[in-house]
Amino acid sequence: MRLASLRLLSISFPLAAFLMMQAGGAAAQQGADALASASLEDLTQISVDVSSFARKDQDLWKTPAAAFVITQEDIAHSAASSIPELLRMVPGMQVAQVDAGTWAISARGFNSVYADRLLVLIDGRTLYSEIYSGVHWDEVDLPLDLVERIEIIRGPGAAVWGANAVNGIVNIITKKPRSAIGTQVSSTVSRVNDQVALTYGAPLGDRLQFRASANFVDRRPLETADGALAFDGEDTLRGGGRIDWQRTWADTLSLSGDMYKGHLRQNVLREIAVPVGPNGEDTGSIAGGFLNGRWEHKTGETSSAVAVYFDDQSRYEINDDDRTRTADVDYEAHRAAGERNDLVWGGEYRFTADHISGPVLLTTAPEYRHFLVDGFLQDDLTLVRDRLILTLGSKLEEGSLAGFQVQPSARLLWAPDARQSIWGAVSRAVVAPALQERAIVVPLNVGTVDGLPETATITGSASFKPESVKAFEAGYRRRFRKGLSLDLAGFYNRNNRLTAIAVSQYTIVPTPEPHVTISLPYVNGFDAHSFGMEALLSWKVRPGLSFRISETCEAAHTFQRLPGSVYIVDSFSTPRNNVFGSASWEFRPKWSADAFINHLGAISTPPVLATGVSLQAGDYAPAYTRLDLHVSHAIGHGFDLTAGGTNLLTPRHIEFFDGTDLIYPNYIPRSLFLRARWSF
Amino acid sequence: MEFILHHRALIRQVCAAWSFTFVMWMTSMPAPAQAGTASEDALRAAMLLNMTRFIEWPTRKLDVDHGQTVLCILGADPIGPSVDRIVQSQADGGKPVQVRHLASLDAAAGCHVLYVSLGERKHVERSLPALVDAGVLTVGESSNSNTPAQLIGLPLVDDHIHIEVNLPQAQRAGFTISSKLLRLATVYH
Repeated sequence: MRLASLRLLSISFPLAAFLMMQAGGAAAQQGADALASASLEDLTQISVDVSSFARKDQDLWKTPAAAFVITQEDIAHSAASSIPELLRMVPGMQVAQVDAGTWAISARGFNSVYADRLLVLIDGRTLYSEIYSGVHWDEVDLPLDLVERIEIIRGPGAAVWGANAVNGIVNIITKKPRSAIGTQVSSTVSRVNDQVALTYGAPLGDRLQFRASANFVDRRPLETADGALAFDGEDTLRGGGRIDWQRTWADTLSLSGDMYKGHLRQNVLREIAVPVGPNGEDTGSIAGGFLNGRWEHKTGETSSAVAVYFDDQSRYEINDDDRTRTADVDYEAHRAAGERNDLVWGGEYRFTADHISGPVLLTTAPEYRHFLVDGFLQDDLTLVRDRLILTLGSKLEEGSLAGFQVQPSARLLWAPDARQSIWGAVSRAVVAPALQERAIVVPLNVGTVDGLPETATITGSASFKPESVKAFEAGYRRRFRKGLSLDLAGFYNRNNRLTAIAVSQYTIVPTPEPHVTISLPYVNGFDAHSFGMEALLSWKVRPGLSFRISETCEAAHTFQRLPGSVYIVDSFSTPRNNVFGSASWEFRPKWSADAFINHLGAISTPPVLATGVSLQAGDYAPAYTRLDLHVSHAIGHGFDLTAGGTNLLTPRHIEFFDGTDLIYPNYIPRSLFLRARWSF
Repeated sequence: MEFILHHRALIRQVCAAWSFTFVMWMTSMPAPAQAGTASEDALRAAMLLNMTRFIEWPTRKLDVDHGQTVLCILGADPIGPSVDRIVQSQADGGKPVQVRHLASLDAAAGCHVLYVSLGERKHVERSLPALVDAGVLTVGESSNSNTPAQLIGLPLVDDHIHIEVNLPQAQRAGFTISSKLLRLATVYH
């Protein structure tokens, strides 16, 4: 391990040395006076602050972290019809579809259906499920017409965003009503899903606008290994809206909310001893909604915001009804202090009530109430104007799940000139243990021992400690001439106290019928060192023609920290290699063609199977290559038509299997699609 | 050592990637200096004001009644405060600019420039051609492909604000747009 990192360092040092010889003109954050005297040509060259990594608007190219933004243009040129599918275009992101309505998504490894290291936010509202420790991506089925942009940070952002922002942050920002005036109807028909979305926005007065939307998605069953229709599938109906009021020039009040309801079918692990259908066939439902109020006060150089939200999510699956209600109050402020310091600070209070009910309770804590109080402060300290910026910050939090936690970060950005920047960072972040690790009870039937039936029970433990990560990162960005740019990032993470299962002695229980039981408690059983590199080369040849190539390679080395039979649950579960290329070409006025090709290496299955869960042939995810192609045509009168296909290279492939998820994976078929969009 | 042997492939790739970067960097040529960054509203406000220097209005807008360039902003638009700030900071040089914040289109025919807030776009789309004929330079935040009736669009594309000019319509209404501006703009024919 050490040798390998030394090698990496020895490779990067000469590069750094060369870069140090570079020097040039520096870029500046432009004030009103500077803008007034700038030439029109200069104005067209100035870039807009789009990154909100540090909870303030800043230039993406001056962000001391691995950042990527999915713009509306990217969305328009993508074959994706849902947010999880859109994330495939993000360098360093591992997106794997598990079944019709389930995805395993993570960055920098440790992927799973219950990936707990990625913080996903919609307009500042967290989507992290504290029961499952992860994100249910089927609850994120916003119509893409409503998405303003999606900002993705790889690596820890816990110093300002808090727990679970360990390996990345996905920040989904929806359109303001003023940007969604008019009516848009869009519909997609394909092998994998049918979708109809309607959005409508209108001004209600001089300073008041609203938008409303409705979305229906029907996700069709995927396939089994031999090409038959699988049992899975999901349909959801969602409706919502938002009102914005610009009370004064500086103040904006906004109120948003939505509701959704859906039905799901899935295959769960066959060994689970809860009454479900044959082959683990399980039928369930989801429902939920939120209300989010936000008051923003923005003057030239300072800004502050107060947000209050209430969120209610229910999920019925495996004969278990889970409901989480969250109330959250959040304050954040941004202000320059003197010439050199730029401060961001804030605080949050969150109260969550989890309620679990059902014929077989999969928990020892059916009523669980918990709280979180936190505060953060981060300072951008300018050491050399526009050249060298030191960012120091930390979040302090106290809560029922993770206890008292300090999550600091130190970042240094050096911009030798306005075309390139080099950054490095050291941070600590924690994963707040979910109810799953603390209080889960999952009974399993795992075969027979000496002719006696054998049962096992996975149990959470109250003494489970938060997993933590110390992350060391570095990156380099460069804009070449003629629209060519490069973004490189490397990381080395020391992950501690990873979730594992300890296998105790067999016990023979004579009643009611003689059987053998094993207890499988959750323990902090492993440590891991993970490392890797992410590279993106993008080339905007001219308006209407662009290319992107990205390569991510990453791996981890795990170390058992407890003696005895301990099996890792939080396995790396990420291909060593992930390469993609995309091209977008407007070959004639009003006609464009897009291609996306992605090769992912195999995911090696960890040895979690001491539970006796039987792996069948094909129960792993081999390497696969995915090709999406489509052609779009703007017919006129606001009518756009897109036709194409996804997964064109093979009839079907499996994308994920790590043996620890309760959801059984299916095969993703080749699919043709037709999308129509009408805006008026 | 065993680890290195085990991860040979990965290490090879890391080396390849870094060497690739290195070659890319070595072969790259010095690039023109980049102007910095700004907030979207401030940038759009500065462009709007700056553009007026490259436009000649139809003669009926240049008489004694029009001693000032009247810049109107329709609806509550976040660029408003930025426009005010820039106009206050540049009292000297060029034709004076007067900023009016309009709540409706009633008085819009007297403007030289009418900036239509995104929220108002749909409201006024039908009235735009008449205003253009009356010598009002209509400017909007959205792209000209979404609002064909406006003369100039200032959409955000990736992280830059682009200038789009609907040239045939502008010429028909008697505007003369400097080639300097057209060179920086996407021209719709």
